[in-house]
Amino acid sequence: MGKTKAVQLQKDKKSYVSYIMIPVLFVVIQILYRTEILNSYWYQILQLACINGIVAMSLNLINGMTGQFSLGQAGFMSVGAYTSAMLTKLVFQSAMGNPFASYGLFFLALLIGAAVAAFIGFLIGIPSLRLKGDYLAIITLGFSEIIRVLWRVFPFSGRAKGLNGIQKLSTFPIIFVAVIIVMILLRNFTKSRYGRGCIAIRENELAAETMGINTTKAKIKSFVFSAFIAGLGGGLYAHLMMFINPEMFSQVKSTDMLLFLYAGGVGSYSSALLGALIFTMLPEFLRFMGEWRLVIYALILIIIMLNRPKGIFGKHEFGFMRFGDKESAHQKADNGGLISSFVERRKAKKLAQAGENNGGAGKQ
Amino acid sequence: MSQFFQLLIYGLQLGTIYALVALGYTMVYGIVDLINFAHGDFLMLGAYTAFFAALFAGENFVVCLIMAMLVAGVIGVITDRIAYKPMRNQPKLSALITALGVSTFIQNLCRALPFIGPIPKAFPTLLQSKSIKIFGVTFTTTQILLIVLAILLMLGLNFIVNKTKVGRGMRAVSLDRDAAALMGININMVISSTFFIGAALAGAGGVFYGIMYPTLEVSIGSFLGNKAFIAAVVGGIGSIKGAMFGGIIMGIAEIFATNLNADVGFGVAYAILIVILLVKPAGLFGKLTTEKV
Repeated sequence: MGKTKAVQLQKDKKSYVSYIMIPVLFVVIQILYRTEILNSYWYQILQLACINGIVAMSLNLINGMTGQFSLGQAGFMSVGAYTSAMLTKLVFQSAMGNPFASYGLFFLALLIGAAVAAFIGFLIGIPSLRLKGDYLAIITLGFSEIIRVLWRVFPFSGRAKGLNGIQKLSTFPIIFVAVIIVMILLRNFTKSRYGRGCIAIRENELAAETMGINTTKAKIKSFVFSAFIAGLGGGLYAHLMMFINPEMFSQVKSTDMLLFLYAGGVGSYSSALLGALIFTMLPEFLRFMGEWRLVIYALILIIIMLNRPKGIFGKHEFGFMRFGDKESAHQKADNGGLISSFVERRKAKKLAQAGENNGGAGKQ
Repeated sequence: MSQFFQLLIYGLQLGTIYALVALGYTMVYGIVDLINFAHGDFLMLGAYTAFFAALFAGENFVVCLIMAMLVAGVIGVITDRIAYKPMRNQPKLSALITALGVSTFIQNLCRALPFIGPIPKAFPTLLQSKSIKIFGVTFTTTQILLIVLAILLMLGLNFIVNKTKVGRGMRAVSLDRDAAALMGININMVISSTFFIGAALAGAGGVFYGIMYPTLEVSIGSFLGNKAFIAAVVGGIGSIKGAMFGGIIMGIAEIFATNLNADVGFGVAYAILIVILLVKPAGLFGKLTTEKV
């Protein structure tokens, strides 16, 4: 949270502040952990929240940027998780002697997992991206549940029992770096020609097509890329939790990711990440309430959505994710960021006050 | 052959329950364009209402059913007023997330309330059943009664939608909300009655499900709601006829597939969904809307 605040204060200056803030944030968390102010339980939750953030950001690419309502992110996550876990557990096990080799092979397994997820995304994307809106959401959900059924019958995946005894290879530094890399990848993709095509599709598919964008291809590209990143998140997730079973990747996981994205603010990667961080940690903060904790959690969610329908942070991008673009006043109002809308309100108040003063002066 | 009919009866029974719940999904979607994720929870609330009604007012099927439908219906209307009404003019997906929140809220509230709790409860036997055997097929009077009742409820709904003033209002609102408002239709009234009818049908579905599988849990709502939602989509979401047929198709397919293999039965709903959406992108009875420029 410290990072975003600092970035916000210097909003219209160069975004290099966040490049300094990232290592600072990392060091601060490490110091908090080493001095045991941050106990290992919260450390684990933080890592989980970061992984949720990766998947929520990948969902933002397809839902927020391309405007295609996909609901099957847990399926791609499970492909990444199972593939990489089976690789590290069954194939690379013997070669993982020293830490150097084991981490190298871990990265390889993560990449292969993500690539397989991307391939599955390609296979699913071709038929289903012909559909639109709610129908697309439902068919992607259907495919993700089918994937889950396949894990229940697939022989090497431990069937319904799942895989356990996965090595704990996802550590905080790795996850942190993965978040940063994913952010940069997504930012660059979105700012590239393909990404701009995706945004055009979101705004108006018909117009995008008449402007010469191959909408089918662009949608499949963003879908595949989104699946790749979700698979990467899944691989990290498997090696953090140390066991996986098909039930972990049910529809509940997909809807959780959707919740993180929309409660944080759809259309912005940084909002998706922050949404995932907040809404993963919120139920843990509420632990003291016992059985009532999820009731309060749901209530908070409903209140937030009723008061801020565009999500807590809106479509606003923070820091280096903005890539040096300045937001126009119109964009700011449209994006509905938490801080910018607050600033707007204050400005409007000041203007009104100034107007009153002027009016008073005129009378005298 | 006798086994085939046996399974068919079970499938019909499950299918009519799915159809009852799917109707609520489809009606709400048709009118406010919202996938009401909390709809399955209305079913769960209906089932629990019947449970408590049986506990306090005696095991009378008619009383329990009416209580369940009333309570579920009223909760449906309240949910709409509190959580969905302020979202009418907001992005569609925000309303969807609110619906997710409502579903989590209802489920966990029931789990946290001391008199409901997370422990499964045994649903009372509301109907004494007799087995009948015809041509080697055994079925119970309860099964027949529930199937007939469910079909009667659906016919009643059909009557309301097609022949009454409220129904005409519903059809008008689902065609074009603004135009309907201009014609003097009380939109909020129509939406409330839609929620009431939809949730009441789900409540009835909950009672029927409780009689069929007498273990009551807080999570049956989301589990059954999901299947029913898929049924609604298979039939063509927004179409009432579609929800009925979709539900029955899903029920029968699920029973037959589960008979072959439990894991296959688990996934067959989704397989049917994918095949149907790929062949007919708007579902069996849905109408494809063309995009106007």
